[in-house]
Amino acid sequence: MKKIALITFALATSFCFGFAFKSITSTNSNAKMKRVTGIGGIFFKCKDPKKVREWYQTHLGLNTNQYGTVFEWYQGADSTKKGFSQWSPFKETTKYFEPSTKEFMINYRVENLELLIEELKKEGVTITDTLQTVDYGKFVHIMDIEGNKIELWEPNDIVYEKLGIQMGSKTTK
Amino acid sequence: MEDKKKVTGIGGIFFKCKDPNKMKEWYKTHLGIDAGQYGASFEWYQDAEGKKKGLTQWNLNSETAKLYEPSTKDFMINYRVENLEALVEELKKEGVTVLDKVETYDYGKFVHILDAEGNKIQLWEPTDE
Repeated sequence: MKKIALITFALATSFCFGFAFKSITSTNSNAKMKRVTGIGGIFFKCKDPKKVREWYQTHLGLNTNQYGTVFEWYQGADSTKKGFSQWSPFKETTKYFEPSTKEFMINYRVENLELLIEELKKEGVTITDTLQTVDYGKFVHIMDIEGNKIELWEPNDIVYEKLGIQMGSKTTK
Repeated sequence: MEDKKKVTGIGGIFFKCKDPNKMKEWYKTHLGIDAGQYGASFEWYQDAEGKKKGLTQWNLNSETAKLYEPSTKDFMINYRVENLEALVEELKKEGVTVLDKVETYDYGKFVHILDAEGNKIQLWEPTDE
């Protein structure tokens, strides 16, 4: 009896404050929340990016431009939509990977970056900058537990494709 | 010979870490990447009709992994290719370092080469089915 009374009390209190159930629902939806949906890019350091781009163009047929190449594919969730992954060699002196000292950085495609950032903050994940919005999507950078910097990208694939076409670049597919 | 296809996509990204199990836990919890022993597979399509699937594998290895040798880098990229055997012949003619022989598995053919700066590259002609 005492137990039932306590539960009733807890329920009543929850209703009074109005947030207990809300927080349970939001925890559930966040648990189901899609986080990473694909690889958005792979970046790596090298001595001579221009030479490396040329090597990959000559021997492996990557359609490179000054930034590397863009791999084109169709989305797993909806094959009528294109998806893109950027591939770029960087100079060894690049500051782009900092504070990571690794030779590579991975970009992951995500859905709803703003919501994800809020979750990651609650989970105590290190976020190294603030959300940046550009024409082709939203970006933020975080650190994993072994010091790898991660780029999170909520892409706007339509704009991204247009930019490539404007630059006269061919994708690799 | 023009518009000859070689690499068609990214087949995988692998990188070294101190504690692969802990890292996999972290990536699962915070980024939703659910990796098993062989990593996680990102699924996409090769065509707008959604008939041909494509996979990009993501995996973590321990720092002592021999898979990356002779490269000393902390990452390795796998590229999807068409007609691996013809490509290997061509690469040899072009003077590219081919590290091993073509290996055939259920899920495709593999070979390893080195790029101009000593990065080991895995080439994969997938059997996507």
